[in-house]
Amino acid sequence: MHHALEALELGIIVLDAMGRIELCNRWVSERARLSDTVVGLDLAEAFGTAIDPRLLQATVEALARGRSSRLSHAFHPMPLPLFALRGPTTERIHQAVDVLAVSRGEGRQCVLQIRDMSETLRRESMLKQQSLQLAEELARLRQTQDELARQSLRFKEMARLAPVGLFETDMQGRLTYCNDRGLEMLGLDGPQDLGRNWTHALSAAAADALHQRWIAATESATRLNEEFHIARPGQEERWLRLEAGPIRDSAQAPVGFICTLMDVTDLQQRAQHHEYRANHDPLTGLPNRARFEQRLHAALAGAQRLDSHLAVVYLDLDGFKLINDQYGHAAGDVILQTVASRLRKHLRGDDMVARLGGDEFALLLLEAPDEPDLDQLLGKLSKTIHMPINLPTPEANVRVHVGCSMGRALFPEHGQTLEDLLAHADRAMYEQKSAHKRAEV
Amino acid sequence: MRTQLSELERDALAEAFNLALGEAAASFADIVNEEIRVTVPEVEILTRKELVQRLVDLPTARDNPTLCSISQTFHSADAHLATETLLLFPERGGLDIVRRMLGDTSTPLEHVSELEQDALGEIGNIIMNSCMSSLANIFNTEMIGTLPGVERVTPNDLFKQHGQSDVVLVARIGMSLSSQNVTGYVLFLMDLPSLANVIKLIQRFFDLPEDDESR
Repeated sequence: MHHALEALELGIIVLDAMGRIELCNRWVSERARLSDTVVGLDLAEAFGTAIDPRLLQATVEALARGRSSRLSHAFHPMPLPLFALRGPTTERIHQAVDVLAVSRGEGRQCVLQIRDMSETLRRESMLKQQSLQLAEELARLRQTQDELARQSLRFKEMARLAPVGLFETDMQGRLTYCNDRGLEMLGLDGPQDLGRNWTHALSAAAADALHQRWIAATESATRLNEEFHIARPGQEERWLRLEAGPIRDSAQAPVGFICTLMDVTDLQQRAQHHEYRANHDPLTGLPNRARFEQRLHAALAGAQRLDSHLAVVYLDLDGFKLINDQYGHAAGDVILQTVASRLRKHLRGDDMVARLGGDEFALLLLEAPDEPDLDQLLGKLSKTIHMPINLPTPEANVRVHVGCSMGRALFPEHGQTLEDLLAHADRAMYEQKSAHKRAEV
Repeated sequence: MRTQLSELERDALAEAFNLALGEAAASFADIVNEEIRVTVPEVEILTRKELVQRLVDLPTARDNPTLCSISQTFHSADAHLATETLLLFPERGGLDIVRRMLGDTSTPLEHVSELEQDALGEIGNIIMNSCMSSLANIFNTEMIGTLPGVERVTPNDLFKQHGQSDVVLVARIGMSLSSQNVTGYVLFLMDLPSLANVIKLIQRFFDLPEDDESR
């Protein structure tokens, strides 16, 4: 036998025209555990009967009709009784056999090529497993993607319907996302505003102030809570409240901000309203006692510093109780409102008239005129209060009159402190009231 | 030199192939437990261009134009007749059939593995050997064949490596396994004189009217 055949890592068996083994290389005899030579025997004689019938059939066809056949491993895993070199003889090795028809002069031969498929099998099994794993991972990824898509849709719907503005920015405050409501609130247009700073449509002053606060928040990566107002052309001013929190990446580093905007104009108005109510008399709209004293306190501090004068006047209505009893509370209210408006009309901008309660009023006169001018002013006021007042009674044309008693206190002449001045004015008023009573009798 | 088959001749040849393919089906039955039907509905002689068009028009070609090609060469004992046979079918269809036959429906791999390729070789080998046995009868000579070679090709690349002649003897072939159906083509490539010779042999075998030699 040619030495090359013995060196092959492949099994070779050559059959002659009668189907007898002419040649069987070492590869085969080692694996078939053949003790004697098999030359001259046919396949069944040499290897026993446990040969895949298809293999025997293929050799017959090759010799009789010149047909070559492939017995693939997949369909014929172990056609011949061949075993691993080192190991038990209980399991055959995985094989693939090719049966080749060869012409030899007038006759025919048949060559069997036998390959050990163990390694190929192992490799493919591994590849298959890997591809299955990848397929599973892909399926999981797709699931996650679907879930993400659903969440994104949910968010979009919520963002669309929410009554708050919702937007996202990078660390510098440039918009990366903004819902429609947010765009509307910020006075922005739409997609073209992405990339611009969210304060783009605010006034320069507001934008600047917010920018400072923004920088502070980014540096400490803390939340931001700010209120600011925005005036859009053709619309009234609105107050907005911003709440912003940092967005972090997987390494917990801040990469931007997510912000909500609420329109708090109504809240502001209500707050202002409450404040007004806390400081003003609801019936007449005049500042109340608390407010009056607050103003007086501040005015005194100013007058002390500037060495200027001011006057405090207590004013009480005469005969008010009688009219109230006679014509009812509605009538009383009308009188008070009328007096309040008359007083307001006669005072300069900086001066203040307040209602202390009941039928008590107080005046704060800054830049106090000297005594004669003050007398003249108070006289005028007294006269105007005396003028007839029409009452809302069922009978037509009921007109009444009220008088007033006034007591003044001048700073610094009559006192230096708030308490002193008020006490003095109070005393002065009572003196005048008593005098009026005495005059009536 | 005639290079066309009449309708009678085509039908006769198709019938001969079908008969022989019963043998192929039996071989398959030995390998797997399912019934596999292989038929040749039609035989014709086409130009290369026509053939390529047929392949391009295969139903699966739009999504995946790649074909699986299994080839063997046959020659007569006296070497006067030689033909290269090719069995072509869509790669996807072939993959489905092979995996179905191997009972392997779970593999997500899109490409043929080495073992699957060998299996396809065997399938093609069985089919082509059957067809060739009909022709061997008709030629009244043994046709000695080589082992199958398996390749992936596209229709347009087909004749780059093969074919000297402009016309090809083509048998359309259908394989069905349970609910899987694959349509393919068996090609017999030979030079013109050989083809003319083959046609004469066909006429003689089926007792069909022969042409006037002078034409």
